[in-house]
Amino acid sequence: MEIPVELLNTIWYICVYSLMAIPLTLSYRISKVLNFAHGVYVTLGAYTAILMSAAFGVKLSPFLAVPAAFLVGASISVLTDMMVFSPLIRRESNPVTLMIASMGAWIFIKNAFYALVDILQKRWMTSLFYTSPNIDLPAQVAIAGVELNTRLLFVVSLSAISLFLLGYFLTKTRLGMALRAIADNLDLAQISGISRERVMLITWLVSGGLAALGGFALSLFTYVSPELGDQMILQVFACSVIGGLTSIPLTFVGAVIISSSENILIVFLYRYLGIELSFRPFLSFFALLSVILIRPPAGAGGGLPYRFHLRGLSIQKKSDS
Amino acid sequence: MVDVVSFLSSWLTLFGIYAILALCLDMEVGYTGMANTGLVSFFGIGSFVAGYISLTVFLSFFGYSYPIYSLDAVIAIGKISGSNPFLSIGVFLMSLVVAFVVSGTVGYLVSYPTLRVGPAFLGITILSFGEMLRIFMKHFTPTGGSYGLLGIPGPFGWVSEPSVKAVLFLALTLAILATVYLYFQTLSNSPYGRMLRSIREDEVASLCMGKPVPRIKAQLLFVGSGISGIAGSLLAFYQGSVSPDMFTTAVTFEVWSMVILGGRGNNRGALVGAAIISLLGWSSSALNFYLPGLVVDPNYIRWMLMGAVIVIILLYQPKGLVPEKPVQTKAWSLFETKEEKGILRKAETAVKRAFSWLAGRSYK
Repeated sequence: MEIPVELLNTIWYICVYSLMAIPLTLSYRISKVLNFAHGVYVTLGAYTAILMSAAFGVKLSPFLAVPAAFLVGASISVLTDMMVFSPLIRRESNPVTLMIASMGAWIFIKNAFYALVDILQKRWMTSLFYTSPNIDLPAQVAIAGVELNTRLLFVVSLSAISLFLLGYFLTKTRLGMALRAIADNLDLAQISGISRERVMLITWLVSGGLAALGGFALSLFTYVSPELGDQMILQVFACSVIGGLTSIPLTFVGAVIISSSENILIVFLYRYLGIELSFRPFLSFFALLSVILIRPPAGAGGGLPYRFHLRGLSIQKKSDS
Repeated sequence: MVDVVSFLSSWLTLFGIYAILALCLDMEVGYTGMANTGLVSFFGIGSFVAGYISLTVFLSFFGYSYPIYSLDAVIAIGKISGSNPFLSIGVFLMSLVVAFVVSGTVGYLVSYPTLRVGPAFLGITILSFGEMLRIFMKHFTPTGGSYGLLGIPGPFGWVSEPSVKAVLFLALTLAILATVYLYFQTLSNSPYGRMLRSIREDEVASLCMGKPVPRIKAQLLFVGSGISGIAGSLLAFYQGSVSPDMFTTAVTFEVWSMVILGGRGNNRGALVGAAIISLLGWSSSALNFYLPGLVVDPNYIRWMLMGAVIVIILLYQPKGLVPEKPVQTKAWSLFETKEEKGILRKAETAVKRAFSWLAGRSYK
């Protein structure tokens, strides 16, 4: 039985986009920071394995690479929060200021990383652009007589397990419930004795780590370059916007929509309308625009005065944002 | 040895172009609170429009029928660009006007979906609009695809001496910058400018006071985008070539760092920020040119500095180097003349201040 390659690619990208976009939604809900530095965590996650395998010159076990990527992404994310976001949030800055600060952090970390890769490339005499990590996984595995791609299986199980763990953490554990309480009603949660700072730290840890896992999962099946995060961030934002930047299940739906349109719809468009394959990013942009036009996301992005015509939407308090 | 005239003219020309952009962004971000992260798309539209118009007009005026992106066209332009001063200047003025209109219209159209959502979504949508436009231009053959347009004839193609040409172009850029500065200064001190500040402070309150907030924002996006288009056409005529890869989102962040460093809500601050950041950019490219093969590419250091500037200024000096000043209305200027003008008055104020400082009280 031959599975079409577009379908396989769609499955790859659903896993990767959901691993990248769900943490973005989570961090926006809790901290109200539209984090442009999110793409950097993706890049760092992908490059942790590449740099480790290049430094030691061995095939890396995936069970070592996954925790390493998670740790690197999470630590950079927590550092960003401690140095940039939490002082600004403590001062009750407005969302635009937080967004600009995240842009500044993005530019800084990105270029520091470019410089690092540049130096390492000269020192090690190997190309670190357009590479893939050297991971110790066999190419094919036979399960019940069907030949399956091991890397695909690995990525699917990685994203399924991590998203299941995230869901369990958010719904069943005490800390996860505290996190959702902060997202729903900040004042009430703080009155109940939940520490906002600690919850925010946990959020950044989880979201940075998951985004880094997404980058690692992407690097298993394509060649990546240090600009990876910048190339992905548009699609990731589109997934989150389809989820209204608030809902995690809808963000997953967004990941399904974006990845299937980028892999299946574009092939149809190419075959029947003659649109070139390189116009792929346009589809996610159109998805983003049409969502904004048809169903403007409520509550999340502010923009209060223009939504008076939408009935049934409660008006948020200004102190929420 | 670095030539002083060429250094000053190249730095000041870049400063002029970026200062126009910074003034536009300051008007949108600092005064109105619209987080425009897609400034570069309007900048790019302006420069492509200017390049397209000047090449088309020149080629058709002299009767060539090459496509404007072909090598033949570049060679032909090289022959004819210096032959007719009136045509050069006329084409330059015409492309400034058309760039203003086209970029402004695109900005106005973009404002329709984006103003219906809040600042966060505005940021994402305009950012992705800029990226989309860049990808589109890379595949759009009438403007040369990813190679862009080459050999755009400047307004001073008929001047033979290169340094005189550079100085003339510099004077033109600075004149346009001065006009834009005066316009924005007048605008920000007018009742319209006060309305913009009220929108920044509280949208709902100004809506309740009867101000049509979405319409005003769309108007401002029209003007700001149009003037960024003029800056873009200046860049096209200065460099003589445009390509889609010149207009990445990085340019937007450069202008953002200028505005934040200089101080939001202050036109003078935008000029200061533009001067500092463009000097940084110029010096990094000069370092690359005179000392090639450094351990770290100076460009990375420059961008790291820009990111650090944004974060540090927001953390420790949120008002920027030049803080926002009160609105200079007619009444305020009368008050100021009475208080501050004249040496005697100033001396009197200083003495009063000194006494009140000695007495441990603050003056006023």
